[in-house]
Amino acid sequence: MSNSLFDRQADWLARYQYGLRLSEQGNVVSIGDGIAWISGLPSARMEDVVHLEDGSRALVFHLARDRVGAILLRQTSQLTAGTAVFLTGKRLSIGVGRALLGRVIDPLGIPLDDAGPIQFDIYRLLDVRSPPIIARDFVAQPLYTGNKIIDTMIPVGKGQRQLIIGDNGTGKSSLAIDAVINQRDKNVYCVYVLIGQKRSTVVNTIEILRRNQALSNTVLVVAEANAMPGLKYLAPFAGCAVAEAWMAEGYDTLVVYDDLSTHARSYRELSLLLRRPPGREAYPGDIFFLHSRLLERSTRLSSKQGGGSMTALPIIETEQGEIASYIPTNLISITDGQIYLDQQLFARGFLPAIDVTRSVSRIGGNAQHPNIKKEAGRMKLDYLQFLELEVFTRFGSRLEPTMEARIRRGQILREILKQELLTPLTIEFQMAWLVAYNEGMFDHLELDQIKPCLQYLQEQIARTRLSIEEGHEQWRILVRTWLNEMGRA
Amino acid sequence: MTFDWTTFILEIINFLALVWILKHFLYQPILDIIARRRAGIEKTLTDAQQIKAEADELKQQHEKFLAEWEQEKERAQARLMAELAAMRENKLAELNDKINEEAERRKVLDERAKREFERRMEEQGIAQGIAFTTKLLFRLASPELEAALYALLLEDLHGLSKENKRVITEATVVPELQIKIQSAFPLDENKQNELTRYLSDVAGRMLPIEFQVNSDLIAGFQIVIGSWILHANLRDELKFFSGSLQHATAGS
Repeated sequence: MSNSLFDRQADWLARYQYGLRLSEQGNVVSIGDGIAWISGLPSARMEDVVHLEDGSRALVFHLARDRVGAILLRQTSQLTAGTAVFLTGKRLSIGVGRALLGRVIDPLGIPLDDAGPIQFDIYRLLDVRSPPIIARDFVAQPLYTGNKIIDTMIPVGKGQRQLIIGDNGTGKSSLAIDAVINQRDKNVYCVYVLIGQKRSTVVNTIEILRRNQALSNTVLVVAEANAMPGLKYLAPFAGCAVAEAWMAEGYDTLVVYDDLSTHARSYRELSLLLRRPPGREAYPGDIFFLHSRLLERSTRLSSKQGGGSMTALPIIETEQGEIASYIPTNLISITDGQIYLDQQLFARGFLPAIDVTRSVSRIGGNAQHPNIKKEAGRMKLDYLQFLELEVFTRFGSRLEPTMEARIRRGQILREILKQELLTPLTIEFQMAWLVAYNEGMFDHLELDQIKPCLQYLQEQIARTRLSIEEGHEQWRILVRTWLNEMGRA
Repeated sequence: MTFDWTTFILEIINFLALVWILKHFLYQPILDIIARRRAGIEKTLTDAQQIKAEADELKQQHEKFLAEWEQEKERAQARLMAELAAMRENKLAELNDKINEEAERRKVLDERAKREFERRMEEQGIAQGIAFTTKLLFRLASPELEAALYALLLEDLHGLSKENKRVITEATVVPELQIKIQSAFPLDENKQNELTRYLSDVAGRMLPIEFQVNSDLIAGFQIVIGSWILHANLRDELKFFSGSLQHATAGS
């Protein structure tokens, strides 16, 4: 039998006979903290949507012997104990599609901006199974973030899940916003999920994206700090469903979950309110499953499946740099690599405060452009060796000239790697500075001359039509010419 | 003039001395020079012949080299052509693969979009069908239709399966239970009493029942008993058709 709606209806009609029918009705027993306890509804299933008589909506989240625990998604002021509850037999879905671009919505798809209602043609379930392995392709195309360190040393590929981890105030969100801004002219649709953030942060994020012309290819899914815990719990799934719909249409997408530690806390809050037994660090035992289920949906589909991709940048906040606590450990093990932001580097003014020693991209190298990969080559290793060598200089010991030269090159590299906030860079510029650095063109410069030099290179890059497809030699000649011109000027 | 033998002999000696001097100091050196020049010419000739032979050999070598180079060139050219052909073939194969992949991708996406479009059309069709039927039924609904539906309700209530009867009986056990019966048209007292009697029989005790009129039902009844609802009205039938209500058929 075909599975079309008409066929199902025809089947229903073939068996139809008018007669008395029974359906269930529950009653609200108690309400509080975004949770409704409902009696009745013996046929309720987990994650069924239920309608309440007053117009509220809830999601079945806990099944007990004589009652059902539901998280409220919409609550009216009339909702009281005794309100009738009806099963819909439906799972939670959200409107998806291009109509969402440039919009700010809540996890149910309700617009939060003042741009009017959204007309949806397609709805997609919030929680679906991740694509099977046979439907997936290898991560083989780069997703440029516009960040020097990431694009050269910790590359991200389309379909990859790369964790951004660090303490509060180390620039995690800025890094993710930079990555979103960098997609504005690359035909990559972005979904930025803000979970439990302050309203000022939400407004700021929208403003930054709007100012940088990145809002037109982005949708923001927002569950503010004062939103119901159910909405905070659903926000990443809603964002994922929106991105997944575009992926299914063959587009490349980028989804940022900002941040999953707040999400884990919301889920813990819900679970404790629903009297589920807590596990390690009072988080429910299925938090790992929950996050892995979410992040497993990010992938690159094979051409037989339409060839779209969903790259995920989950953000997680650590306390005192502790990456071995429960949630960070979980997410590190689920994702394909992590970008670690360090508080001390931040305090020392090394921005973005990415700790190269602790950051890794497990599959991004396969997606890196061969020319960039060739140029970046041993850079990470050399940089790590420089950091080790530099420790010796603190003791004031005399070093061999070769060591001194290596330290100096390392210092130059560190100066190059510094990057201002909200200034995503083109991959051609990355190629230019890599060639210049590898050819020793910066070696004779003082550290304070590096920045203007890079600035000049960037200006020249904007005028050239040379692409990274060109070989090293063409780039070497061009970059040397520019730097000579700069020297004469 | 007198002939002087002494002078004659001295003249002869003088002549012989002259001849000897000439032979030793003029004629012999000239002969030597001539011999040396002749030897030189012969040596030059020999050298020239040797050089000519070497040149001939070099010429032959050069011609051989040229021939070999020509052959090598042809071989290299053939190799290059073969490599170019192979490379072109590979690139063409890659391009074909990409084109096929893209075509496949487009086909999948088109099919998906088509399915999505069909689904939307089906949903719209069903929604419009229900909207039309609702409007139609609102006009056609009448007390006569209500009476017919009431007869069916009673018939179904009496024919309830054991399982459903048990469910309703259990629902009536709840203390302070308020049963609500809604009808699209006002129910006369006889029918109210009849329904009250039936439900009290099922519960085994008298139950408080509230009767209400709800024209949204179009025609028919809705009975709420605790956590169960008994549907026997046209509005809910249309909802069941659209799948927006979960139900079990009571008579089954």
